[in-house]
Amino acid sequence: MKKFKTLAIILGGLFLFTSMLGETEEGDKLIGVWEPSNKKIYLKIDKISGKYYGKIVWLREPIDPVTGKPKTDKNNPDESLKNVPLKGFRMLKDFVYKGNGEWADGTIYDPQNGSTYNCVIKLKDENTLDLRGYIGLKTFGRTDVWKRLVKKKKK
Amino acid sequence: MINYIFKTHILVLCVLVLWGCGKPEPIQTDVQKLETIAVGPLFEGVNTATVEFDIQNILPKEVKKEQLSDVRIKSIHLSLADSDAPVPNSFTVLLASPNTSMKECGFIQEESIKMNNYNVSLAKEQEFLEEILQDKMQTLVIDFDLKDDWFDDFTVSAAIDWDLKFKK
Repeated sequence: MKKFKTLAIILGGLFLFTSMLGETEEGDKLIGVWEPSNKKIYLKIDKISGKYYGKIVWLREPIDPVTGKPKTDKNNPDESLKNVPLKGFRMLKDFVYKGNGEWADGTIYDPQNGSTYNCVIKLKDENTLDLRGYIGLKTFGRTDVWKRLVKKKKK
Repeated sequence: MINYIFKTHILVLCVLVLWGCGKPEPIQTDVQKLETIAVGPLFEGVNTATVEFDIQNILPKEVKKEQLSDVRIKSIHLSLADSDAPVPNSFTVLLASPNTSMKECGFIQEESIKMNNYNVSLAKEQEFLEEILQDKMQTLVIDFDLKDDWFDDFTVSAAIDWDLKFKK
């Protein structure tokens, strides 16, 4: 009886561990470089301390035509951060994997107006994301489709 | 009359005691030195170096991090551990914790780096720090924009001078 109990505990622990590992692997499908529908930037999503974050790694127009210098986050509501370089800026923050190809509890920042919105990310297929930004209720938001940057196969 | 004066004195005393108790007291700490590491190989463009830490480790024994109040960063100085490593175009310094949102603490622009000035331009708004430092763990995140590929690990050291206060 005692042996059976020990075996049950070990199997239970093993099941919990593998299911947690599975969740992590599922969540990591978000990691990669993505292109929003406006095709103006590329965002690299990585994982830091268990949560997912996305930073700008490429800009179609990296130079500010007015200043002739690399673009900065000039619309940041904090005056002291208006000179933070836009290349490298973390637009997506704090996403947690919720299962079923969905990441939530995060925010998306729009450098064009300096606003931050709540955001939910849904993996439509391996290379396509639906990002829904909203304030308050999810119903009153806007969805954008992002595509993963993938290596083109040589013919 | 005497009774009235006595009551007024007691009331003033109570107010003073309460005011005194609620006022946060400064904590003397050394400059905190942290080493953030980005595991190589790294490619040209924006890369990230991180390190996890617990602010409790630099606090005096009698102070718990949950008591921290009116927290600010006085300065952050960055340095590169490997003199052969390429000098980045820019740095952005952020702080995160498991139960709060990641926040920008400051940055270093290309112009400063060219002048060999690695002092971080700090964010004016720092109210978020208290919540981050009171969380169970903190993560220092440094994003840096590399000009060239670098096939080794990349270490950025940060010296953070905190302005810490606590409530008894």
